[in-house]
Amino acid sequence: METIRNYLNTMFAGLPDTPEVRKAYIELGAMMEDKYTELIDEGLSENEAVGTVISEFGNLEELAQTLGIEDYLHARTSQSKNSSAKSSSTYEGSGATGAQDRAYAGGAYTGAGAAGAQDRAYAGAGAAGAAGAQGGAYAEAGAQDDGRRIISSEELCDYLSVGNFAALIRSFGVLLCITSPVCAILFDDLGFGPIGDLMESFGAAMLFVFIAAAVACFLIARAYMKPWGFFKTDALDFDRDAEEIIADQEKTLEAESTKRRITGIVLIILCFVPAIIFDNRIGAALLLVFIGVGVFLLVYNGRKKNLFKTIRTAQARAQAQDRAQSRMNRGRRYVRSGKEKKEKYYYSDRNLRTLMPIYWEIVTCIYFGISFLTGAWAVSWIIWIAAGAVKKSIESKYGEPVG
Amino acid sequence: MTTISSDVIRGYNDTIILYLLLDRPSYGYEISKMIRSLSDGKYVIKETTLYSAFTRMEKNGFITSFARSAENGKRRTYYSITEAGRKYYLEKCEEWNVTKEVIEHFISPSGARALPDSSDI
Repeated sequence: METIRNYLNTMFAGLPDTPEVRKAYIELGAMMEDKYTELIDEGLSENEAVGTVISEFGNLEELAQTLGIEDYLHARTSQSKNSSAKSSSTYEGSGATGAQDRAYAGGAYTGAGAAGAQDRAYAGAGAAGAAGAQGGAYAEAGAQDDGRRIISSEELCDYLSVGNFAALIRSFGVLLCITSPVCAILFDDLGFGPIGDLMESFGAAMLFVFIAAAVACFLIARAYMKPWGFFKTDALDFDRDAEEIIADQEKTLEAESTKRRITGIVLIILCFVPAIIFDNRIGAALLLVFIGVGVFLLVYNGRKKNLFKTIRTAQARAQAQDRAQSRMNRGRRYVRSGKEKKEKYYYSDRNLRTLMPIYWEIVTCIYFGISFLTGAWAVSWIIWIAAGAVKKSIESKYGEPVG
Repeated sequence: MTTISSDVIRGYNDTIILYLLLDRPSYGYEISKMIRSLSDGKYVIKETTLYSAFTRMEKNGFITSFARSAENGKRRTYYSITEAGRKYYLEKCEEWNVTKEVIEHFISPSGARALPDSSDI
């Protein structure tokens, strides 16, 4: 199917982008796809199926008048006898050879400059129809026959809103972790006797409530992002509308991002100010709140940016595939970008599979929990070293290396 | 097997397509499949030919198109025939009958010209 797509893209490369041309591209693609699928079902080999489909495609000249692209076609076929002749009179018979010839002619043109870019754009346009039509069924939405998925603007918006939500609650989880001891600090030694004891244990209990809530946040964020996992692993194409949205939002994000980062850093730097002003428990609590909010902003910012980085990486994968494809023409090579963050191990145990991706978040919770409860800050850092060792041993014992 | 010359059949692609739409709407590939099977594989319509016929006839008001999801959830463009299309189809049938009649006079499977009857002269 990929070969057929390439063929069709080549035929359409360099044609003007009009609604008629787009529609023809989509319709012809659908017909070829139907035919290809059926031929494969009938037991033909891929090569035979592709050959049949391409040989029966016909001649783009026939569409010239319908699409209003006569001028383009005449410019292409320079040996065309008479440029004033209407397409009906330049109809050159047909047959497999005719189609083949045009394929070569088209191929030559793709080589020339901007045509290549057009080519990709049309791939997107074609998929826009296919993907948009699928509606809510994201699992299969817009999947091409060659396995390449094309993301429509609706899908992209869903991804971004879910991603934003996940980023928000994930960062909120971090905020909860950092501010978890606030109640404990505020209610510590507040009174004497049973009431004082009660308040103290309330403070300590709140610490665990905060941490539990934080873990819940991490898990919820993870569950929300799960259906979108393919953004991190697959090669994706985006249709034109989606591409515009990405570019647009990236620009907005850039400005927002700087503001968020500056605010976050300033908050963290200034965290000692309240502690200096109020030399008491309120100061200590505010210190944590300052750090918490500062880190929240930084984490949220980073997560949001990651959404777009993921998109760009998925696109890069698609482009790399296309390049590999045109080099080898057969056989798909998976090109992984080195920057891509991916789980290195697969766990057959379900609980580990859930917990390991948020391992360091959990460790952070434990670290703060234990440190604040025992006050043993001087030694509690050992947790980090222990955690590193524990992670290694879990990985080697239960994990199967991926890739 | 003798296949058909696309130059000759071109004038009747519309008729063929309209015939297949007479009883129910259909979509591109289904129509091309029906053409192939009804003609015993002697006529395989090219995708571009089919698509240009669709657009031309839609412009002329002989057919209308609409989108519909197939059983497998695939979205397809379906075409259905209009009243004008039915009328045009009947006209084309008439035309073909005349054409066939005329051409028949000049067809000789034996390769020899038939001896004229005295009555013809």
